[in-house]
Amino acid sequence: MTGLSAVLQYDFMQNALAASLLVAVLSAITGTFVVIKRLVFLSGGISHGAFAGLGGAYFLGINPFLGAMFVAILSAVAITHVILRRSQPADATIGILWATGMAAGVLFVSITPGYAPDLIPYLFGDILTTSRVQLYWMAGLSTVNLLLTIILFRQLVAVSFDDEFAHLRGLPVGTVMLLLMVMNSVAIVLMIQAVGIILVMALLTIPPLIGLALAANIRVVMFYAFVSAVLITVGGLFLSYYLDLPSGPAIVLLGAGLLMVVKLAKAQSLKRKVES
Amino acid sequence: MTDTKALLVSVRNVSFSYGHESVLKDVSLDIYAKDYLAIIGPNGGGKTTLLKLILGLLKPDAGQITWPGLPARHQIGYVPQFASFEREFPLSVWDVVLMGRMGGHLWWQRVSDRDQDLTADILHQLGLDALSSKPVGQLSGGQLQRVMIARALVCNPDILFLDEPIASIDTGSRFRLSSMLTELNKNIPIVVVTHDVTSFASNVLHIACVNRTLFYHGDAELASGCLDEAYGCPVELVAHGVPHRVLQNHADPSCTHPGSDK
Repeated sequence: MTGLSAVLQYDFMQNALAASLLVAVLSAITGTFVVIKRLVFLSGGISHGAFAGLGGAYFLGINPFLGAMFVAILSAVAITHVILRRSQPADATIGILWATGMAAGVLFVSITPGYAPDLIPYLFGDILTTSRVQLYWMAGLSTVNLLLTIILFRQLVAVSFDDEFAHLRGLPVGTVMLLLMVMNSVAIVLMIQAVGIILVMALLTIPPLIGLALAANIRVVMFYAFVSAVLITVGGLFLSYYLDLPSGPAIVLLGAGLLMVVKLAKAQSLKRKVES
Repeated sequence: MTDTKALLVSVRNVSFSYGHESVLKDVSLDIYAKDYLAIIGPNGGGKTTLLKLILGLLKPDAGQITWPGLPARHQIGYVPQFASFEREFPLSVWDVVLMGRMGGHLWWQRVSDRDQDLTADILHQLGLDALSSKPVGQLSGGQLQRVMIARALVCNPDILFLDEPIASIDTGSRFRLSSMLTELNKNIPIVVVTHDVTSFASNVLHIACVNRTLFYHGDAELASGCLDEAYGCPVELVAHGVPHRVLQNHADPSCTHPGSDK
């Protein structure tokens, strides 16, 4: 087995580690809002819908992640519009987006002339192939996301908690919702890079759920979510490297294991509290 | 707002429907300064919808709602229905009440010293000091109710709206709430949406009976006939000036309206 310091000399490993840290930041801030505002299904719709953009960009010969970003933001705007107008249940709209996006993506890839590419990395992620350029994009957009979250924090929390009361306080609820959704969709596409479209759900849910199990204040929840997201992504990365496993599943299964341990430990400590 | 007859809110011929389903038809009513109005009616009769229309949370399909009697920079206090938000939300009592001090702009909102002082004051007034750092998810029904009222009052509102405030609290809390509202009503008008008017009966000035349309709007003491009509069966009679309330015979079992309001 290669020593840790030797492994860290590799460019690809440095890139992957940096990407893991950025993904952990996104998972903590975006995921916490997704979980507490019950946007998990919606986020699934956006991430799967983004596959249309991925395939479309591949067909046109441009960067697939630009296509995914474009479609994800577009669908976030559309869904926000549906939710705000309440003209039809967003539930069904999300289902349509989910299926149509995947179908369109696969179709685009299949009609592209030449070799059919391997779709598995897009679906299940491959953080070990993160390039320098991708890393710069991730760093830039994650920073924008983080700064917006800090600047808008009270508004985002107020609108997530009780949008009608926020409206009566004069807050621009529609704009805040739209910003939250667009920030979420950008984060989702950045996370697709690390764990793929399907497993992005895990990073949006597992670390925030660990945070919620450990704390009852949203800032502390986000902190614990960040710490656990770092443990999961970096841990999964090393598991993937040493055991030659695909990185996405390694990250997700490690996360599921950690969540289970935290939940069990919490149940035990509650039981002890009741007994004493 | 010294003139008790001054018109605060005017609802004129308002209709509203969710899709093709008509919820309210041709409703007109007024709210006066120092008013204590109870909007009553069966569950699903459109009470909450009417309240949301008045608050501007919904837009009417037809008719007009105006607020002629309020100053330009007014504050509206609103206590929503119990289940309208996520109880497991990771916020403390302090965080939630402080939301009542938020302003209208999009960007960075600083918490001022005044915001903190007013939040501490209102928590103290409502006997919530000890719960200040407790997560809202761990509160009892009565405690959460007081937190929601604190959040509504911390902006020093010009008018207070409460949607089904007694539905989820015990009898003791109901009594405390009722006397608290009476006390508040000395300074500001209060509008309560409820399917159970008896808890407020001794203090309410006006009653509006709503079931798809407005059946009655006027003095509380004259309301019993309209109540029969709105509910389709005899209901509890409201008596003014008498301690607490007089109950009419309520034998018809079909008169109970379980389930939650829309």
